[in-house]
Amino acid sequence: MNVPGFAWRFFRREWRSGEMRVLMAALLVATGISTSLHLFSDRLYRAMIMQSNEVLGADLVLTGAQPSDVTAYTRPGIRAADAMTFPTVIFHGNESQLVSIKAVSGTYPLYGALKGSDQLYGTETSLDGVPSTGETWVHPRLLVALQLSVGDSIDVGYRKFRITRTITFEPGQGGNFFGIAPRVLINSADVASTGIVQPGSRVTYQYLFAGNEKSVRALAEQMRRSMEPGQQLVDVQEGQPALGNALVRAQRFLSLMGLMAIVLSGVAIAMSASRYARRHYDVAALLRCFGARRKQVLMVFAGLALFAGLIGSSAGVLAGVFIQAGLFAVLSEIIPGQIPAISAVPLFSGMLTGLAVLIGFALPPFIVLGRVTPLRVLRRDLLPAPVSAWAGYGLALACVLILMWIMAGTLKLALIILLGALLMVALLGIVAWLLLRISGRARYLAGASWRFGINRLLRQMRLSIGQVLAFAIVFLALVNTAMVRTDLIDTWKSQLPDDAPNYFLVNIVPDRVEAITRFFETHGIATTQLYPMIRGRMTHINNKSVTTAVSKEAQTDNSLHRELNLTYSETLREDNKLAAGRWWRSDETGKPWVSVESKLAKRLGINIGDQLRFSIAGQQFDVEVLSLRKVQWESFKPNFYMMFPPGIIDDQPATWMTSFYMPVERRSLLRQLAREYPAVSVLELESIMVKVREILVQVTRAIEYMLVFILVASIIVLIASLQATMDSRMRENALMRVMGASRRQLRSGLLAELALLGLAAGTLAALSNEAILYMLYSQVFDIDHVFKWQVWLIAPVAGALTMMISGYVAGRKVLSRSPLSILGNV
Amino acid sequence: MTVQQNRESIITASGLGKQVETASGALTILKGIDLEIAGGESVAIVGASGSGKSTLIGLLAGLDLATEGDISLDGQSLAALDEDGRAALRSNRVGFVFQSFQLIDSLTAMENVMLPLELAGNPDPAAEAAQWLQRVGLTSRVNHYPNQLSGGEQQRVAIARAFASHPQILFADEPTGNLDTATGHHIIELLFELNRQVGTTLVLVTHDPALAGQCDRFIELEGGQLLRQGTNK
Repeated sequence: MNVPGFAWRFFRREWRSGEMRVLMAALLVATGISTSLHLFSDRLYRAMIMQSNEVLGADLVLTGAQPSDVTAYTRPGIRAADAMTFPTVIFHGNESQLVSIKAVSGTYPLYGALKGSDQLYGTETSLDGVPSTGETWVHPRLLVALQLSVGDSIDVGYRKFRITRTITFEPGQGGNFFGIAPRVLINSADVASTGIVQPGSRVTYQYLFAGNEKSVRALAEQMRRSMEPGQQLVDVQEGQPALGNALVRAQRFLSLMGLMAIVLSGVAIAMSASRYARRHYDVAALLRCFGARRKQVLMVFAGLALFAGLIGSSAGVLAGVFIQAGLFAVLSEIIPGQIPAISAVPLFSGMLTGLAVLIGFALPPFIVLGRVTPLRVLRRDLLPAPVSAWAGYGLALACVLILMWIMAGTLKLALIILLGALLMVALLGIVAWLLLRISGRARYLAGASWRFGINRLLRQMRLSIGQVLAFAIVFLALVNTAMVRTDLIDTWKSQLPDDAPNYFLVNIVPDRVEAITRFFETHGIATTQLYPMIRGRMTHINNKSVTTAVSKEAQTDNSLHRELNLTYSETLREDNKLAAGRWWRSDETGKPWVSVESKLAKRLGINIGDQLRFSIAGQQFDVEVLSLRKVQWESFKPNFYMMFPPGIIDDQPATWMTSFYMPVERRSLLRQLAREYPAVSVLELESIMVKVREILVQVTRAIEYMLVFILVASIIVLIASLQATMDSRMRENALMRVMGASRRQLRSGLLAELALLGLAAGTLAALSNEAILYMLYSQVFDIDHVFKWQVWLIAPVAGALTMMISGYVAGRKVLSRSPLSILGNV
Repeated sequence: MTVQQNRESIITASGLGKQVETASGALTILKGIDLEIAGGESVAIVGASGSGKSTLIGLLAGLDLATEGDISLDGQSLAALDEDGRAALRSNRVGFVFQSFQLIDSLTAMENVMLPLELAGNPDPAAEAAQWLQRVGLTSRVNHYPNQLSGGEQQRVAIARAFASHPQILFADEPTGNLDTATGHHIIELLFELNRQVGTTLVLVTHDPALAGQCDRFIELEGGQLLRQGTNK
């Protein structure tokens, strides 16, 4: 017997008759969703990385206080640029101003562009290239401070430069803008002629690199190995906290949604494969009866599944390509710039995912077909021995584990998630059993049709628990993704509200604090609290020098090699949250305490009660760590690693800072502020915030679209599971009709049964949702979980309604067909 | 076309018994059955419901194994074969007609007839199937699905399927059980006519005395034991 040929002919016939439609639809959805999600998130992620790189100006930036020989880092496929930054005083006639010079090579920036204008506060446009030698582009603040115009000249050291442009945006600016004076951009070829940079000068050297993902990753690894203390390597995820976090969270969420959709489709495939197998016991028996060997029957059905898998997965991959293309088309307005081309990896992985899901979820029922006894042709009550539950579920679990492993990145994490999920399913099974038992007890309180529905569920307890769990997974997927989406977006919005500060005001000398506060009050502009900023170095932890007190990995931490911005405050701002310890009371000023930012504390191994020593302007301060604080770095408000109570470092030389939101129409106030307080520096954050918001909008939209896919997958599971159980319902209802039950009675019974299933599944979904949200928020997304009681009301009610409506639509056939036709066919 | 009948014994059962384990202990379904069926002979197995007819035909066809005794099918001991060995034996020599027709709903009449031919590796199953469907008078219905055919037509497809692979022995389990009297009558005529033409050994289980009366011989079971056997002609 030519098994593959026979299987192929059999498959074609089965396909034509529609027997495999639900199975293949589920497979198409699984593959389509996973491919489109994978393609979409892959391309979107790469697009976002590209845009984020534009903000950073490169893929990688190596920063250090000493010039580095970077020739070892040059290689094919990598573009490089360099920049040096140093403070100096420039002159225009008798006027002088402290500025921050940035000297850049001709290839700067590697991504994105400088933005500016050809006149003060003119329309902002992208600027091509960098200043030519002898020319400079300067920040508008310098023009205001020295009352200059474009076309005027300034003296930088021995060299005269003509101002040819203003610059308002500079890639890489988002990283560190405190304390910098107005920017003056020159060509690096001119640095030597200024005579400013001498051995020992305070210069920051930046080396920028860009290239394809693979080369950049390899380069980053090489750099991390050979970096010297004091050097810092920044990539897009580290360089821009707001962008990096949004990207990481988005990527995690997209993966989570993809996995959710695949598991849902897997459930649908398992259900439709079981149904298919049950409906083909007779066929298998007949094949055996006609002389097919057990193995041949198994191979025929395995071949059938393989053909279904190949065709369904290929169609799914194709559908995935179209779906993601549609998504990009819909999102084209908010995804400006170039979208990277489709890469082959998601196509292959989509195909493999389809086949893996098919094998994992559909193989056990198909194996059972090989076990059908030929005697079944005479005795239809003979059922094949089922595949052992361990083998059946084990296979599905192994399949899910592999997919999780691929998505989660590490086997350990995948195992933790899977074991957690299994534990949850077991617990939910017990809860489902309890719920059904309770409703069983209460059935005498209900009407006859409800009793009929409840009895039916109780008679087949195991099947009912299985159904409740399957529907609970569907509802859970919907509730969970919808809630995570809302909470993520809310978090982003609360971090970046429309009136988030768009300017920083720094370098406020103490005797101007009051006047400036008044200035803002007079003009009705709200500012965040004014903080003193004191430069100081942390030198000791528990009386050990910082470099020996911390772990080896932490020794290169940037915070140990530079001066930190220290501050003091009596109160803790709302968006700072205590992670450990306590905040000082107002009567505890002057106590030798400090509050440390929690992530820095974790990196350096600092705990509550540790003794820290700071050196500020040559003076030493010993303080005890009283609390650890969680800080939202992406809030665009002044934030500090170290906060002291008032009365410790107050006497040290300080400048003050604040941030504020200035609407566009009131920007003229900035000029007034700059004129009245020329020493104060205004730092504009607007262009960075626009960029950040743009990316958040994209991510939000993408998540919303993917939610639609989860919905589609859920509906398919719902159909598959209803269909899978409809055969036995049809038969039972036909018997009831024969025994005289009216259609109304049967309809009520069916609705009662479905309502109860939906109610139990909804309750379970709400319960598991709470547990998953807690885990996700605390372990993955790092956001606060707020209990929402409404979910506990909406999920069960919506579950019951959904089940009643969809079940009723699917079950109309059950009620309208004649009992004889059903009994003859089932 | 009538084929010369081979009167040598093709099925022999000796001391045949079947017991199954139930919750209330061992249950004897068949006990001490000895019988012989000659090649080309037609034999009816009759008896009341529960007398063990279907079990006996299942054992004779090698679909199940006896717990006592042995069956020799065309000289081959069934007890000596494993399930796959018995399947191979069936594939070459045995055909079936069932009470509930056992057609595959997703296949057309033609494809249903082709199924055992394809399994046996017939080089041109379509031509063979078409020829047999013609012989049972269904030329115009070859592309119809079972649910588009009447009960009688479905059983004719099943008969075409059974004969198409040229079996030496044809087992029929209540072939008219699901049909009205008139249709049943036509089916029986067809079955016996083809049987005469091909010279197949026919073993059928029936409740119908008229049908049993058309066979060369009958074997009557009662309570799992052979009550009597005899010839009709």
